[in-house]
Amino acid sequence: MSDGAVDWERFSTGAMAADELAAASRRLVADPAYAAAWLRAARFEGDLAALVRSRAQRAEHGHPSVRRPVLRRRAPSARRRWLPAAVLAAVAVLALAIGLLAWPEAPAARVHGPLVVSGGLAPGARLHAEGASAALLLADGSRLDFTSGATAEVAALDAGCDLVLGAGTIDAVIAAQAPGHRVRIRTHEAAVTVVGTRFTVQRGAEGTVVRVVEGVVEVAAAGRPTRRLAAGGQVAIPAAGAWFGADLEHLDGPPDRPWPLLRWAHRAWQEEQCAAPTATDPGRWVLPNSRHDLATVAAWAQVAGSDLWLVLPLAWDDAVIDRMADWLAAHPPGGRILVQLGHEPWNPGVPDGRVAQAAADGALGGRVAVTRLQAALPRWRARGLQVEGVASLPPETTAVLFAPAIAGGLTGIAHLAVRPGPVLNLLEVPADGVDDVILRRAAAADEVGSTLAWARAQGLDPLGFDVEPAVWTGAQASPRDRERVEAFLRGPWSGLQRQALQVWRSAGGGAVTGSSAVAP
Amino acid sequence: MATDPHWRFHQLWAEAQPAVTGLMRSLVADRVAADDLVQETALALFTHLDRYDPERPFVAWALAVARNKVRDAWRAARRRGEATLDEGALAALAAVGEETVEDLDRERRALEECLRGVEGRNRDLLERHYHQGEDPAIIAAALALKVEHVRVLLSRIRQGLRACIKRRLESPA
Repeated sequence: MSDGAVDWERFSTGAMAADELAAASRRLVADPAYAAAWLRAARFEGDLAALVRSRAQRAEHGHPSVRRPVLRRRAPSARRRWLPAAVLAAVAVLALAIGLLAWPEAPAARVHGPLVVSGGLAPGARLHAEGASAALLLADGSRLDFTSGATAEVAALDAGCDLVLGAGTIDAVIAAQAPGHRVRIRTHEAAVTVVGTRFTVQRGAEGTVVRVVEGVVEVAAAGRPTRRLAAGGQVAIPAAGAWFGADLEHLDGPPDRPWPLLRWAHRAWQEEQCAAPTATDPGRWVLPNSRHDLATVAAWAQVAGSDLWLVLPLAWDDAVIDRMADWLAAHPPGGRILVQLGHEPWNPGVPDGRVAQAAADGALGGRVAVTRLQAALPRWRARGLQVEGVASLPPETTAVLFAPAIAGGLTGIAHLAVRPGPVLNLLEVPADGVDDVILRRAAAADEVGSTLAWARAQGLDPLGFDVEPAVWTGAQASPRDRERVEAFLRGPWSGLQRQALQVWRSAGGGAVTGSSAVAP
Repeated sequence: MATDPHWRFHQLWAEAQPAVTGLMRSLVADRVAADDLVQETALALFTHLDRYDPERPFVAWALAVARNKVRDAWRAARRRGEATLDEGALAALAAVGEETVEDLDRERRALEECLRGVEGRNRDLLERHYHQGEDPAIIAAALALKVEHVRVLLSRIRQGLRACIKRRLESPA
């Protein structure tokens, strides 16, 4: 390494004394090669950090080039849907009796389909589902279906079954267990113990979601009391280091510092991404630009005590929107549901020249969107849902664009900082139409404080801090957009968001996040 | 959309930001403080975008604003009794930064390519250090290694990447 590079490394660690800094300054002036090497070393370190961070973030958020396995729960088979639990229990008891009396050497479990086992099927074995229909069949008739790509380790196979789920989803139908027997599925965050039921344990980068279809399970998470979860219940346990992890201290009750808002947002523009969903179960619907289905996001909101923010494609017709309402009525998330209809035409993913058209045609803030939303809200409320229509108002947007929304009585939510640019002048926020505010992409801690101060001066109760670092590499962006945005994301934003969020929270602000960015 | 100031700024800043960040890192030892100054520079550029002369390179304007931000930060640091580089070094590095924008961009693209070849333990080490922000002592504790060993490993990875960049830049396109 050249002198300039070596000296910059010392400089960057803060190890240079005042006289050394003076000497380095003199040489930087006198020796252009030394200065070039110094600058090159600084650039290398900065670029290396940014590129590594960018690559890691894209991996965490499922960027196609570095994507980790996408975890999805598949629909239960018709057989399991219709097979009564009582029959399963009888089969289990019968199998247990036969196993004990007639075939003492019978295996406790066997694999089905493309479930690969490293070594024998015994404690310590690793299981990997290499395709669909992979399952572990227990001697008692219980069946654990693995989604393709799911991995687990066998911790025990005597007196039931004890699995550690590494990634993916296990869809379980468990026979009634004999005394002393149990089926347990553990993840890094939680342990689900079954008495005899049907349930799902889903493990992703953000944590674990447990949903119970039939019966009762016990869910234990580190540092939290064991919780019994009955049919219809669902619970989310965040992974360590997840953005919201610190806020979910109390699994069994409302957190000390509830998130006032959980946003399920999308910004897709392309028509194909906004097509009506095809899944029969609205709980399985994944909105464009989201990595999570409605059931998962509703589970997070329920646990966090958050409101749910749904941004629905304008292309959806009323029947589709109402099916979502039906599902939510059957699975009420607990808090408010904030519904936003239409695209956000100011986003960089919108093709050049389409912004005006988007606004005129009825994208968010346009007359069509407002009218349709106003008509939809009574239908949702008739289902017992606590719902509000929402228009989000980024500060650079003109009041004209949002005049219909404001006049239409929608709740206006101001974005006080806009991605992926700098924090904008807070005074530009069209305060007349604002009911709530969220902070997005704060630049620095100082900006967070001033944002809170501004919001309170306006008599507003800050809704939250919106953190969605991965959104702008989403599918809505053109390749050119993506290149620019990724370049931007390699910049300082990601490093400062944590700091800004800490300040925001310490000042009393809540947190809000998009479902595409629930991990750090 | 081309007339949308935010969009316009987005385009310009995406091109200038690596050069500004590099300059900040060369002038300000503390990485967090350097990042803050980059943010302040971006904010100032956006706020005063109407003063930008499109006939001139945006990068040059951005680097000039960045220099002013560094000067302000250095004044504050000196008032706290902290030593900094001097004005001459600031001018020298800014000049080099402006002259070598294209060179450094090529190096950066080469680094991006070289990083694709880093996998396994080396990738894990880089992610721990640069993404998770773990210093060598924390990494050493997590991996049951000696701190010095972690430092050496990181240093070797950097050396390998530098060598890779050199090879790529020297090889015919």
